[in-house]
Amino acid sequence: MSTDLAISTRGLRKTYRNRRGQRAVAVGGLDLDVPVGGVHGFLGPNGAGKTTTIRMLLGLIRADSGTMTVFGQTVPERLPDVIGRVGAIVEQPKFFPSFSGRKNLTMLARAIDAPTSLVDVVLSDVGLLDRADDRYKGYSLGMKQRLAIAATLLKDPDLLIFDEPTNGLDPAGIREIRGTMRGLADRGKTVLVSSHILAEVEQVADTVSIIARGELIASGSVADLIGAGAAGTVRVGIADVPRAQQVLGAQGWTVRPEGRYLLVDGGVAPASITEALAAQRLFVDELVPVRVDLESVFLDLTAGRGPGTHAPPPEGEHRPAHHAGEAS
Amino acid sequence: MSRLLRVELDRFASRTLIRLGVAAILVICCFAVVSAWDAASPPSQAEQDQAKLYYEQALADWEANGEQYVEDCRAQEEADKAASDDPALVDYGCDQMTAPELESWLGGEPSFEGDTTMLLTPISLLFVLAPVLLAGSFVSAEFSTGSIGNWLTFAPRRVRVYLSKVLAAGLATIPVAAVGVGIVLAGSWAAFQYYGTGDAAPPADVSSPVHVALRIVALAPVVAVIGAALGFLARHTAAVLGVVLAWLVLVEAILVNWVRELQPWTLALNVQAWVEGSAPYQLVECTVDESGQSCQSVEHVISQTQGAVYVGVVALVVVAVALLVFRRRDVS
Ligand SMILES: Nc1ncnc2c1ncn2[C@@H]1O[C@H](COP(=O)(O)OP(=O)(O)OP(=O)(O)O)[C@@H](O)[C@H]1O
Ligand SMILES: [Mg+2]
Repeated sequence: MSTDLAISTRGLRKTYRNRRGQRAVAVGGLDLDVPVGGVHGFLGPNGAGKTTTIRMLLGLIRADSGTMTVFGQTVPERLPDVIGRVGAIVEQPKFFPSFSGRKNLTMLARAIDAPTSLVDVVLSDVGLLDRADDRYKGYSLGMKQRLAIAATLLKDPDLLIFDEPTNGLDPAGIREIRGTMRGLADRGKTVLVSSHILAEVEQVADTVSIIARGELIASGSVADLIGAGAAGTVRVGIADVPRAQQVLGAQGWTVRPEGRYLLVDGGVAPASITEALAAQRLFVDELVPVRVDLESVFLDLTAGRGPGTHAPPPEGEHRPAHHAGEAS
Repeated sequence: MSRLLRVELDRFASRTLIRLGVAAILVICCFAVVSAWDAASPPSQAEQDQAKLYYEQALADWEANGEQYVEDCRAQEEADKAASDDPALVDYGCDQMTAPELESWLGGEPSFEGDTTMLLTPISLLFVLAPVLLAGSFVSAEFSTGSIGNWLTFAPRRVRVYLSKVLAAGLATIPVAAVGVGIVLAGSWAAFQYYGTGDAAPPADVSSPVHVALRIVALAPVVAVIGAALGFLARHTAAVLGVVLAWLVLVEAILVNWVRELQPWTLALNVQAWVEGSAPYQLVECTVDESGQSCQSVEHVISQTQGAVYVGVVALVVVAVALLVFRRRDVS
């Protein structure tokens, strides 16, 4: 196994037995590669198998078949050797509710033989020092999330796994987490962040893997996935659409009207467009480069791949039962 | 391993529920001391007068009607013997009917040895049920809150995690049990010293309650270990409680009442045998000969050794099963 991969899985498979005794595929032969360094988005609609994959990587649940490595070490067999390099938050952070944040971290630090003086360091890193002696169950969701991040920092890990870290956070909290992830990646760490919300990952991820129904459907850098061809369209808002179309068409550019707008394809520089129009005393109201975002790529790729794809249910885990019957 | 064990001991000692439980145990032990003072105190003048009064009434009654009572008893016995399938079993003990004695109204001599042992026997029940539930909740709370998942991402070796929790529950129970029975022993001892009603108390006489106390202290951690293992299996405190209650009601009460031969296999009797030194139980045994079937209630005894082996084997089996399950089970 190559060691320039932080995580690699081959043919990873996990099924669950449902009420009727049938096996429902949660992860079905997943080949996932996460390169060392940078932020890697792990995307998929609700129920795609992201959490299940992460739990298998962490040895919390058993794979039915397939192989996994973390930093080149086979897991779960060699997990004890690499777990010190891996910090993870799976779904909601879970600590002992009646202990304070500090007590929770102190116990974790002692379990891994980290100096307990580190506890206050990581608590202040996440800005929780002043609430450190409050009971965990009294923390707000954002504070719980920050405590969980502080816990992962106790190990000073090389790989951080965040499973939907921004669930339930306010915009400030989301931005903060994003900043944290970017900061970690800039310090040379590898960050794997799972999400079903594209916009959230797109801004911070260097590379992404998209899964649906437990299988990998696309992976690569964000730029590759968005695709070079899709970029470079400019939308022009102007009062006299027909005349503007004539003028721009005369420049040899591909121009299509779209309602009150014109779309200019082919990577024409916006400055050239304004210049050409101004020469004919036509003045633009609006000039926007059209961004093809990951969202539309994601929706295209996962279209028709099971319920929840286009309209994810608000609560992650519910999926119609008929899906289970399609297990291979 | 010892690192994890120390963390678990700390967690055991820091849990609010366990602190409350331990406080409750110690309070109950203090109540036992109150009844020890009661047992140790010599009868007051009022009690003596009362006893004397009742005694004199009974004596007068006996002198007037005693012979009649014995005769009635014999007659009833004869009649029931004739009616019974098994005349040998009918014995009303009419010969033991004798004149009343003042002693029976004064309630016996206080005795440190006897009274303290009698006090410790029900206390042993406390040190069986409480450790099971406290240790059970100690482990199962981690599953019901989900914090075990986070814990395993720090300590992924399941066998070590398991052993550290089970051992911590057992070890932490020892001082609790020791302090609890210590309170009862010391309180009772002080009471008998205070009233001067204790036996002359050469060491040999004191040995019985002390030995019972030591056996309780040895039993409590074993039960706690069983409770912790049940916590791994049941994963909810309510489920641990349910398993314990279901076992007590379905197996130890209903099933055993139905199939009397199962008595020597109940936890209750084996625990009693360990704590008290032996545990008797009755079986009706029937033999068939030419005169027909004859049945007799025969007393059997579970020895202390048998009780110890039984409890030990149960603990080992539960601990091993829970370990095998936890090693393989998905944690989510
Ligand atoms: N313990 C379980 N028992 C039965 N089925 C399960 C279990 N855990 C997960 N599943 C099923 O496995 C599939 C994948 O679930 P998983 O939680 O991995 O999805 P996810 O990608 O994390 O989704 P989300 O974005 O909603 O968090 C789902 O169909 C889910 O119902
Ligand atoms: Mg999930």
